[in-house]
Amino acid sequence: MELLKPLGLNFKLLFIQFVGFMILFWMLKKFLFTRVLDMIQRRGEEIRSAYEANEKAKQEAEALRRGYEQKLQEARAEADAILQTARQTAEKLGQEIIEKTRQEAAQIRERGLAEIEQEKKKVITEIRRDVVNLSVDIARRIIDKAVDQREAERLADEVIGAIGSMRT
Amino acid sequence: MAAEAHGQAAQAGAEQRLELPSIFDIYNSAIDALNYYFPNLHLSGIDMHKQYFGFTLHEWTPTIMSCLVGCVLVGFSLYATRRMEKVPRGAQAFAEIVVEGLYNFLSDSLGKHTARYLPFLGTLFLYIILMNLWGLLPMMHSPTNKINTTLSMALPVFVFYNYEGIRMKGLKYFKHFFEPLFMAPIMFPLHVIGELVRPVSLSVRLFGNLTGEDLTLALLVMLTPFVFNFIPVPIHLVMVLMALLFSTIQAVIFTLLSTVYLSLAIEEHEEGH
Repeated sequence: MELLKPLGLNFKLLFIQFVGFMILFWMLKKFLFTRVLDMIQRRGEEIRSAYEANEKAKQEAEALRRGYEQKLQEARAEADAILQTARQTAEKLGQEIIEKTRQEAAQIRERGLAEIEQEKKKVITEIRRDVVNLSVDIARRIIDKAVDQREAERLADEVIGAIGSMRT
Repeated sequence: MAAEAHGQAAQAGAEQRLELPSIFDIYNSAIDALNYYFPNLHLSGIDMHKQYFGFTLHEWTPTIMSCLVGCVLVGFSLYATRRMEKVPRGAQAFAEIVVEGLYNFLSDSLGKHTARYLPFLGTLFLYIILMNLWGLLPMMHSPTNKINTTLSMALPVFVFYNYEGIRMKGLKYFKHFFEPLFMAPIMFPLHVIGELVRPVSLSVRLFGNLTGEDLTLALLVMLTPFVFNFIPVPIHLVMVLMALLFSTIQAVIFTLLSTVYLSLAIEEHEEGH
């Protein structure tokens, strides 16, 4: 320390400067460093928490999206299955209806044919009766006019021949 | 002015140094001029050699200057942190830039201890850099060109890092005085001297640099040439730029060395360093 004397070392001034430095240190610590570091730390924490919340929300959204997607896929598959079943059912039903219709048509046709046959028979019977009546009428007229035997036989043959040709 | 001879021989070495005029000298010059042009006013200037509390005003000047620097620092801190906001603006943003910059600067060597030691080392840095640059303001002097000022910071640094070393490591702190162990009797005095030289080297480095800087500036100002005996040519401007650089570098060196001493004192060294 003696070495420093020629440089102007003075312990009283040194002590005063030291006290000044300590006061400055105390005040800067209190008013500058502590406050600013606190602020920086608080801001850092806030940013971190905000970031974490953001991240969490993003993850939740992602999970929700995945869930919805899965549900959507399930719904689509279900719809597909329903459609498939419906198509099959419809096809079967359509087939059945066509079959039934065909059968019915066949029945109707048969019935129609049978009816026509019956009608035909009925008509033939009626015509026969008419022919008989006519022949009886002719016979009565012949008798009424008193035609001879030969004439009568010829007429009867004629009538019978007509009836025979009608049968076909 | 400063070069005047006066009775106190003990401080002669420090007092006879060439200096730029301080605010008191300027005041006295102004009073002299007034007295010259208005002789009947009889104004009296400040007597730089009058004793106040055992020291002349001249000797008080560095202390007054460092008080001003301290007031500027504290005033700025109060202004910047009066209303802390989430989104910093203006002075608060500047204060945050400064504090964060210091934090990053110190965290390289202090690691997880940075927040604890930031106030002390940060105060050192801000105080020293402002005191160094203070001398570049007209009518102001750098308090750091007096050994009292620099030693008043180097001694607390010395006490601080030794205290922190003992606090962190207990008696094991003294182990490094005896390393390497087989040469302990020789190494112990060397280590002690090395330790004691640290505050001296810290303070004298800063003091010497600033003294040289201010002396050069004062000399260059004295040598200012005048064109047509009227227009001054500021040849000292180059030195002002250099002084800006040196002031900053010296403040950084002082803080950095203090940080290194501190980190050496508190480090948990398992593997030999």
